[in-house]
Amino acid sequence: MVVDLMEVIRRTESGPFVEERDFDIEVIFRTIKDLVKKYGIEYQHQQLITLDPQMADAAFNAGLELAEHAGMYCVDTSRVIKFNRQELLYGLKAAPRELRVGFGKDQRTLRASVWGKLERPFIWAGFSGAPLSEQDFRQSIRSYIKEPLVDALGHGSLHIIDGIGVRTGSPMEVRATRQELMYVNEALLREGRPGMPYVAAESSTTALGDLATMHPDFMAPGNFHFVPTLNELKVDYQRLTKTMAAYEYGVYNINLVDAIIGGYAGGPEGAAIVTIAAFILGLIVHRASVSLCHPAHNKWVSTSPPESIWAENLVGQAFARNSPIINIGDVWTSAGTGTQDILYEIAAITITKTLTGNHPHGVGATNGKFPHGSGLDARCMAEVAHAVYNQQLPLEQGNEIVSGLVEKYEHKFADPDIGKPYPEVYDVASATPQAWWLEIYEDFKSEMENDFGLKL
Amino acid sequence: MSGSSARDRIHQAIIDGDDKMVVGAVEEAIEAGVAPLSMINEILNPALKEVGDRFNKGDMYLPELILSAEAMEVAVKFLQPHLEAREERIEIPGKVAMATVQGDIHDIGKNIVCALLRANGFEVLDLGRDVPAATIVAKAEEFEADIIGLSALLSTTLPYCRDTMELLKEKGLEGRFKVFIGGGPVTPEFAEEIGAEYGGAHAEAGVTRMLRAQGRG
Ligand code: B12
Repeated sequence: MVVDLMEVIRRTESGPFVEERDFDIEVIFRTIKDLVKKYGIEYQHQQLITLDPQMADAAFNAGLELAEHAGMYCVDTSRVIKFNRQELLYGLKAAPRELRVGFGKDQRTLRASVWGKLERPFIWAGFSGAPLSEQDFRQSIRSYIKEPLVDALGHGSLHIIDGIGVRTGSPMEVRATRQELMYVNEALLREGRPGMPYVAAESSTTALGDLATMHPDFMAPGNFHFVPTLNELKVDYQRLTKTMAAYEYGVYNINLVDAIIGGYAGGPEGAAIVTIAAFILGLIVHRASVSLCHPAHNKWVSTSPPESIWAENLVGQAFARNSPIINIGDVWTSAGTGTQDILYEIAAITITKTLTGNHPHGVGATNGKFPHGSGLDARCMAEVAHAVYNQQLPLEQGNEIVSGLVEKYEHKFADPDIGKPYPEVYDVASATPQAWWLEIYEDFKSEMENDFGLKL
Repeated sequence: MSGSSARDRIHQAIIDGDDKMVVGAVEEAIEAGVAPLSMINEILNPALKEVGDRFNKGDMYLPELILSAEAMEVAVKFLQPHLEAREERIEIPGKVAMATVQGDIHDIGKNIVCALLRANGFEVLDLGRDVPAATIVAKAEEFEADIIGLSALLSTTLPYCRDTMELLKEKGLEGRFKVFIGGGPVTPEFAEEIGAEYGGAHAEAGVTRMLRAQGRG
């Protein structure tokens, strides 16, 4: 049986006591350094999509070994929640491989990817996580729902309500999260896709916001919210509260894992291994139905730098080959909407994710720093993912395309083209892209076909 | 003299973040007659600076930076009585109290800034994450900081940075500290609006700005 949630709570109280500094350095850093060596895992700039399946298997085994050795650290009690290998393997075995989500004509099936079998990608779209004003939120959300290839929604958060700034942990967090859900429900109805599944309560930065929306008037059961794993392999009472509340109410938990490349896990190899361990542990600690991969470069943050692309590729293949679970991956760009660069970044990340077993989730334009995102970003992500699927793109060819795309933008991270705010790239009334923005996209499509052989 | 090989070993111990090796090597150098202050200025500081530079280039990672800074701390502690005996003092660019503000648990960026500041000779008080304004101000006073560094990664924790500035004003401590703020949603405009200095897009930029503010570099 999977270790139950009450037992997890018990272990936050009874597990071994460790100072946080020692967990970060002695446990995480040193163990991962040894595992990278032991399993011979090595970042390859020339092969951002790993063509050697043994490397993915090695990464999986390293991640499993790390999960068993390290466990998950509870910040509030300074104790480690530990699991033996059997418990971890059982967690993997019991993880869902398929979820029926949404209802009516908008119902979809979200599947775990199996290596060597390229299935229809599940497109999870929105300006995920981006802090927006009420007006920007209401206007821009429509542009994502309108996109026909989009299967599920995941839009931004609200940082100001009725002119009052929303503070984390204050009563305004409750107000913001409820208002967010009101806008989500309104927009889905308005665009005629009432049964579209969504991840929401993104304005919930503590457990307050989540708790406030767990009522059918706001977030209906059967939808999703995020429970982040703290860096690296850590959890706290706020996160566990989110898990407990959703688990009992019937909302699916998404384990949000942002391993930092250059952080406690070390380089891209370590980021991949720690993400794999976090996914395995999250199945038990977070009761995760879905695991979200977002290796963030410590300087550039987005998921488009080559180290980040490589790490997510390895994580995806590791699970797809060894123990398929439902993985999604963040499509986070440094560039903003309305630019050519954002399209290159989206394409490179999306091709990698689709080929390696992570359904694309995004687009987090400018990493959510500026309100510069639009539905056309998501269209690009969706059409690229579907093109990869329709053409049954081989890994080798995918690798070549991704390398070509990365070359186009990798020197621009220090000073990315941040593009424009939504009302400047879209006609707000009709929620359709401005002609010039559409033209940039059409040019990009031709380029993808002519230069890279990928027909969107 | 064995001073030169001890010199190499001190350098290597800092690069490797090896606190045991560093004490042995420092002790040996003292015995060989190397003056403690010149050991700090000419061997230890440059080695730690090298670690910081390698981190900035992406060749070293946060834990290595932390381990090197810890080894440095051990070495300086060992040298302290020797410095005192000679009535010598270490010159540092300044003292910084760093915190991730209330409500925010994003602390990796703050941890990197702390480590890189140490690598550049600053004395740093790391107040941790989710720290209320009142605590930040009280601790900065107690620590006699030159600089307060605030880190905020959420738009919804930016207001807590403003609180800190307000509190400083109310307590008549405006101008007592230079306040730098950084983290994802922070812009130069926001920093100016609340009366703080913008820390820059990453730790390297932040440290450069703080050095400049202290009249270095
Ligand atoms: C990693 C990460 C996490 C990790 C954090 C783990 C940890 N211990 O730090 C986890 C997974 C736990 C997490 C959780 C959440 N996150 Co988060 N996270 C990120 C992510 C991807 C990267 C941040 C990071 O660590 N970068 C790497 C470090 C090295 O860079 P940095 O922090 O920017 O710091 C550098 C510089 O900014 C600068 N700097 C920083 N501070 C200072 C201070 C001074 C004085 C100076 C000089 C310089 C300086 O130097 C640093 C080193 O170079 C960002 C994306 C982004 N755009 O930043 C989202 C992001 C910050 N998260 C976001 C959100 C929404 C959340 C959650 C609310 C998600 C949820 N629904 O639960 C929770 C928040 C919980 C809370 N109360 O804080 C949003 C915030 C949106 C906003 N602007 O409000 C972002 C922007 C992503 C997005 N678009 O959705 N997150």
